[in-house]
Amino acid sequence: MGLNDLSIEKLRDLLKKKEISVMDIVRDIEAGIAQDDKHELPLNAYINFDINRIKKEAGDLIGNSGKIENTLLKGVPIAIKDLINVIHTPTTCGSNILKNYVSPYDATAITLLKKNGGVPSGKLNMDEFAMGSSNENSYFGAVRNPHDRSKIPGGSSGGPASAVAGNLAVAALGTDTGGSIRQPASMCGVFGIKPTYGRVSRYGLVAYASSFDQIGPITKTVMDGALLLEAVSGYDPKDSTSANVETPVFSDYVGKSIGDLTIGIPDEYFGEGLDDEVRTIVEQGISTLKEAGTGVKRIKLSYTKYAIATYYIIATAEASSNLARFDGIRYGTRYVKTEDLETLYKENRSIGFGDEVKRRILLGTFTLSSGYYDAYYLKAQKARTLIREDFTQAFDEVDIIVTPVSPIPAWDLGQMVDDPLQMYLSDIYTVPVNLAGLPAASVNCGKTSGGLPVGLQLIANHFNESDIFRTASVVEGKVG
Amino acid sequence: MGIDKKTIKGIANLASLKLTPDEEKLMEDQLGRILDYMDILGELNLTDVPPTSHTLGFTNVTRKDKEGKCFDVSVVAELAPEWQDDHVVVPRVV
Repeated sequence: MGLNDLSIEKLRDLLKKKEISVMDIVRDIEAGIAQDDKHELPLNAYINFDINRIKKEAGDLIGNSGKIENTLLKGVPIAIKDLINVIHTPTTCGSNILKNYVSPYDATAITLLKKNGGVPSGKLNMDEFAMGSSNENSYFGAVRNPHDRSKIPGGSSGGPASAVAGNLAVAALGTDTGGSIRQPASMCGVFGIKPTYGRVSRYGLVAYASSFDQIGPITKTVMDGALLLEAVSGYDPKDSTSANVETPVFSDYVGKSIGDLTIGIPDEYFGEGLDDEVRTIVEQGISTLKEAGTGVKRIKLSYTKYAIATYYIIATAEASSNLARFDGIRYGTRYVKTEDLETLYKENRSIGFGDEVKRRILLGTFTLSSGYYDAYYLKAQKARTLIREDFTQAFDEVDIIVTPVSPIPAWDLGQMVDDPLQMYLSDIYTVPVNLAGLPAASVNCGKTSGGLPVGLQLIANHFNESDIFRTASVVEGKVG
Repeated sequence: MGIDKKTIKGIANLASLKLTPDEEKLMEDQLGRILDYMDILGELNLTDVPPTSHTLGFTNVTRKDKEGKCFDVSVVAELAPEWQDDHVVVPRVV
């Protein structure tokens, strides 16, 4: 067993006692990756792992802080999804168009991570520009699920979830636009939390759909999730959607009683399409919370069935605008030599982007175009209001809403690649949370008879992540 | 409603994408199915519903107009695919 198998919490302790060094952990991670690469079916969780660069980061951290033992993370290496900028490292977004891009700056979340003693350690594979639910849309190849390598790890943070579950990372930062932290965390049996929109700065995060994107932790334990979220949260004037609120000491809430909480069970999340085994496992999770003393109420989230259409109209509209900047002019790869500017744009973008990215850009361009704006985009923004109000009313009655994360466990690689609508529909339980800007987590709740993990989704009201941490730790305590 | 090939060609042009005939056919089929599904929003009465602009209601967020640090020209030059005499090289525009 290597140091890469341990949690942030345990490694912090060993680092504090000076029984190990930061580089001891990094070397064990490197050995783990090298060993996995020899596997017949490698996880393919990393796009870049440059030990010399990580060594430099670790050296800078120790040199600059002087008292790394006083920081929150004490030098623990944290792997980063490859659309968060880390200075002097490639940020490819899983795309051909950015395969040679090296970031000249740190995202605010990385600046805070370093300030709190975290060492950015490698860039993780993902669906191209975070567009996907299976991590099969990466230019750098699909990622596999460590629980069954013939299955997808979930997406778009498939690299982070697979690396953490497969012990190729201690913990990771992912991003969640429509479920991209929670769904892979569920499918890989690890903890993942999408914070309230605005809790973590988006400055330096390459934008997919700006009104939904949030950075958050994917970790082995609930406590690790609390520590890592604490490390990267905080107001940032560089992000106009950053919330100027206090960051609670989330780790103080892990293991605390939940007897004062009422959980809500929405009928709409347990209807047609939910796999029987997933239903049984999620119901066991709800029983665990009841046994721990929570009140339980059945609630209605009546507009849930409109969430997929609403989300995919707004998200693709935002994507079509955000991705207009990738044209091979100022940065990125220029594939053609031509004397015509328009040809240059078209050739570069057509060679540089993969199929799913093109599909979403086209869809978003269509719904924003003259004559269709009212019929699609405006309608979706109004439907978004109804979905948000659904949650507002629910949180008048309950503290935490409990649901499945995904209607089905991890599916076979290749199973849905030719049917994008089917893949979109699998996001039904995660996208409503992003439409409302709420915090939500996936905590492992058990395994199917085939050995595939199933997560329980815990949704709280805005900025109530603390309640999620105490509830998640009860489930974790039962499942182990 | 679905989407026809002429519209696909038009939006590809707006999005600065060049599609092969096979891609056009595929997008026509796939986007058509996706847009048909999105017609579900037609079931909702949205007449008096205001559109969401920010989930937490933030508006008019500003910060002080203060001079800050910016990248050195050499950093920007390193990022550019083609660079000459402190400028990014692009095809002739005018």
